[in-house]
Amino acid sequence: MIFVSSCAHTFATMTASQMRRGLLAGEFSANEIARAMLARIDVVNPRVGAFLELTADEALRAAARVDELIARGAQAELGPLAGVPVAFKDNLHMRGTRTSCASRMLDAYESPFTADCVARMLEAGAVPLGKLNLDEFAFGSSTESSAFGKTRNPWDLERVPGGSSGGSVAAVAAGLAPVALGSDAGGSIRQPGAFCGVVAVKPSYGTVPSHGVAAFVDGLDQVGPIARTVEDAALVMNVIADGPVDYVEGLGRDVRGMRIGYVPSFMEMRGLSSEVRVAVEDAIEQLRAMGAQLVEVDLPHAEDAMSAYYVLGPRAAFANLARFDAGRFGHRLAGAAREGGLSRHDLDQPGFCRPDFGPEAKRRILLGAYLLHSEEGEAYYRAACALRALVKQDYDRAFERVDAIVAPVTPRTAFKFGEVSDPHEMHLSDMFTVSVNVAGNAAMSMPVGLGRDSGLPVGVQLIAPAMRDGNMLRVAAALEAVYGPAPVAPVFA
Amino acid sequence: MAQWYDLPAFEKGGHVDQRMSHRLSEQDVSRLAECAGIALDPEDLPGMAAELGALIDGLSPLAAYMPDFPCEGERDLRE
Repeated sequence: MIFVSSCAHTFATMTASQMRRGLLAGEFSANEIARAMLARIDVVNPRVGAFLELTADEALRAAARVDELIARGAQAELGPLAGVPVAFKDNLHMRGTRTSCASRMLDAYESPFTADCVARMLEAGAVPLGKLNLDEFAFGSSTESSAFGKTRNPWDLERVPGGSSGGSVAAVAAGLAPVALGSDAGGSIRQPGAFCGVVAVKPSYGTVPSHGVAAFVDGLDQVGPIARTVEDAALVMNVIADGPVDYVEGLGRDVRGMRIGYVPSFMEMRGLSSEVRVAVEDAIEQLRAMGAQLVEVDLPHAEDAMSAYYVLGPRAAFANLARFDAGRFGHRLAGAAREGGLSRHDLDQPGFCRPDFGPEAKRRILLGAYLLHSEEGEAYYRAACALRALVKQDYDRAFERVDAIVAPVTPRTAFKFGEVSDPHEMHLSDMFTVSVNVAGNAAMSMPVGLGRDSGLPVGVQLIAPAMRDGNMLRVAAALEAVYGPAPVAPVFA
Repeated sequence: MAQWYDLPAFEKGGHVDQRMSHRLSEQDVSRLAECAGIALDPEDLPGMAAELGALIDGLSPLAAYMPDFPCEGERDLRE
């Protein structure tokens, strides 16, 4: 049990919605919330490693603006996230902060602008606590590839939080922030969400603007909210998503009459642990009991989507990381530095290299190099595009019959540090999530209690048609009514 | 400086070959790294060659989506 002041403890377990209501009722001030959360982070973060940087000055300034509006009776001017502490994955730009992408390549890089999604949160009155750890450039499923240290799973500090948005989910699970933003190109919000037992949403591709996100895979990356309740996740969606949809309002409807699909072949897939399968089956039965109509659907190409992902992803990674060429961004080798920056000629010299990428980043860049610059690579790309079209077609056909699909998020619960060292095995952590990105649909991880064998959090994946994100949030709210909201991890509660 | 066409596999041109990964040598990886501007410790080359080979092996399901896939593995998949 970690001791922190009782005030900080109270705010740690509060939801964003509760904080906002308390502020409006005059029960506490935004300044009190901000100071208490920053104090809690000081105590808890050294054990969890969620935050890479604190933005205390910005937080206190934002809190002061909220308190000033309340003091002069201008409640109508308060944004929907007024006074709510938030934190951002460190691949999201926020002006004046370091945006390192957890890479030594960018350890001294300061953002000159703010990402659209971050700006929308700040304009809504959110109080920015800081930037959160991730796998280097979001390449990974455990946050072990961060250049700046481990993030630990708040439920078991010997285990990984998942990745790549490991810092974001760990912060929320440890009660260091009620909501955070992450990004997901193949499962990077949902997989850690399942490992740490929080509500973790990957919106439909294109729902949240990508301007200001350090790109990993253009066309697959999507920013989304992480929270401990579905209402909080929906509240953030209202702020960061384009379009007129009110995601909170949609939560009020139950699932009676909804057609919800499940994929029998997923449940038989090699590698799926029995405790995860049992948890997903239980969620299916709960939905049936609540009046949803459960329908078998088939996604015959979903299993192969991983292959398409590992063509599209590394190709994009190679191209996107080419800008970290030590000329525009990143460090130079001492021998390569000269006045006026580096020319193309410099970069082409034998022996010039970019020394600061970690092993997983190097692996993906090299795979991208292999795939991008050879005739074989073009053949792989054509096959990946053909497969992508088929995966999307599978989902489109399924969604003609159902409103949402229930599936596993991960094949197993959180693993121990170092337990999964084979890169291919690590990539299989995303076996149930990747096809959603490839098809551009919406999906989320919803906590449904603890695994019967491991005692660790288990999530179920709820998948919705593109631009019908409200469907999955509605199902999630129904499950939350059964399983309860996600708690702060017991070690830190 | 190494060029892409220096890599032996590229001479075949245009086909996904499942067997390719097994032939990814340390020298191939070294050339890839040089072309990509990536620093690799020589001691890391064997491991990286094996890992990249395994990752390329993992792409083999794509063979089923290629109209002119040339190797034995592809014919098996079609059957």
